[in-house]
Amino acid sequence: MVRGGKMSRVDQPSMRGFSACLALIRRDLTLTFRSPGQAINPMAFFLMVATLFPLGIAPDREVLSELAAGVIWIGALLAVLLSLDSLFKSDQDDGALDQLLMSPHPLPLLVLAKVFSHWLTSGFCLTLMAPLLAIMLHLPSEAFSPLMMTLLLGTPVLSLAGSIGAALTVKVQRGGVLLTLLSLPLYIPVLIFATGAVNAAMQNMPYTGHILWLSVFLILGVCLAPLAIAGALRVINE
Amino acid sequence: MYFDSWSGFLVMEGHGLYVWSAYTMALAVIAYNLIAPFMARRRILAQITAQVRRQERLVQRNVIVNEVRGDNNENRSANPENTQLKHRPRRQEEGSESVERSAQ
Amino acid sequence: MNWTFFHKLGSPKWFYDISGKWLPWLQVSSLVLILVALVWGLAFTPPDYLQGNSYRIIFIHVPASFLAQSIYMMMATAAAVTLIWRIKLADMALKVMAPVGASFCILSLVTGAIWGQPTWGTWWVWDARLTSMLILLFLYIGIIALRGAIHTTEAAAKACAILSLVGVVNIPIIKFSVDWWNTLHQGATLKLTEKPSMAPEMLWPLLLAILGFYLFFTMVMVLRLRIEIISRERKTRWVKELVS
Repeated sequence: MVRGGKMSRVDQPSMRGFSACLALIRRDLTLTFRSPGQAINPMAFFLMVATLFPLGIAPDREVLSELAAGVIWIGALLAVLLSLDSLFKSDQDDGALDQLLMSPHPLPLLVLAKVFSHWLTSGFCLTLMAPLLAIMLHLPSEAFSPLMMTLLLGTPVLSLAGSIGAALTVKVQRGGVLLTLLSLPLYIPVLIFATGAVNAAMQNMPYTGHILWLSVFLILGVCLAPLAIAGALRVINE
Repeated sequence: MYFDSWSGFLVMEGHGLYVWSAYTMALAVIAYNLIAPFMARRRILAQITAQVRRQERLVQRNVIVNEVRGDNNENRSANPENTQLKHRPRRQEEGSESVERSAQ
Repeated sequence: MNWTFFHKLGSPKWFYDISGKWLPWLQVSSLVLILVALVWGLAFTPPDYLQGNSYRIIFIHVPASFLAQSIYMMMATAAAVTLIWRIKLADMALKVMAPVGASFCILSLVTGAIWGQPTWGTWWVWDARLTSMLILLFLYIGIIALRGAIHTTEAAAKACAILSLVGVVNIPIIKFSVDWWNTLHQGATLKLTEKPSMAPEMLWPLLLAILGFYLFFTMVMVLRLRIEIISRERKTRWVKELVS
């Protein structure tokens, strides 16, 4: 009897899980709109980091356009990391995470929804802001489209990989620095291919290969990261 | 022996500084790996003896009559917390079932 | 099939007893092997025709690099065993391997830098192998830091196990992307070690050194594991009897 009841719950079509995901995304977006600082602060950080480089190195047009891709990408990477700190922690504090863990829907799916809503409020906003920074840093106009494409493909990977660290450090007091330590090594491949694509475009070379590799990383991340995040959340909350 | 003299061995045709500093570094890492466990061992043994002594004192004062537990072989089964977690949804269902049963 | 062997292997007390017998052999053989290999490499091999005497660093650099990489692989294996079979000994192994692996990773990086100075004329080159090794060190640091930050043993064990598995999935990706990045930037084309062209009189001490370093690692791991066992089983009777 008991087993039958459990099986029927699991066997229900994934539509239920899908609607749960939508509800989760709507909830997270509503929460972000109520306290927009969570989304705006990383963007302000992004802008400020980009401002520091001309001040710290040189305001020359050639130097800056050479560095622009790297600066924008490193800024985006750090901004995403900053916003990741509160991804699971706020849910842990108000008990929503326990509800998530106990829900009958597959946890990796729910986690994927959470990461997606996080990306919408961080990586996606940063992508929309990137052209402004590209102009400030004198990025050549032919490199704009690869920059946007790499950001669109790469920032979700940053959110996914960083969420593993965020899940592992969810119960650690002041886990921000630890989260950075855990996540940055995982960000290196994305950084290499993304800046590689922009630099290739600046030298009028094909960059399709880079874009394809970034897509591979995104697919791998979507398939594997939710499993690791769900596992980490379960383990930490046991 | 490839070198004909000690000084030749030390200088290594100008590369001596690099070679010897690399070997010193290796020695340092090997020494660290040997010394660190011994330090840790001494610290932990001291902790355990202090703990045992404290317990003996408490037993003598009859505060704790018998707190010495037997060998807990936790490896044989999965840890209890985890089995609890696995059973949680099932228990809820059992609960709801019993409610239904009582209603009937 | 008789599975008692498998369960015995997971029992800390059994391991403590049996490893006490292995330990003296491991200690003597590893230290003798390392000593013989390094003295042979330092004093009895001819210099390299291209790099002169500086190539003698190879007898440390290559074993340390091998060890740093394979310790991470062993950690991932231990992590999988921790998560699947929940064998406590595997988690202890995962814990004690991390600092040892990190120390050999640092040794590999430092000897690589020292070797780079006479060979390339600079301490550090953003060469693909050096960069991957640096990132491997970051992965080690992450695991050690995570272990230090989570205070409950059980949660720390599984968190570290998950992190090592995530790391091991990422290592080939990182390695591949760093290689790609290196070819794009036309970094150092000179390789530190060209294995097939090595003369046998240089190869033998190198192989001995690698074997010695692996034995040394096994010995250190057994030493640390025994301490970890005592520390975690401190409430059991056999440990109390052992101490008193």
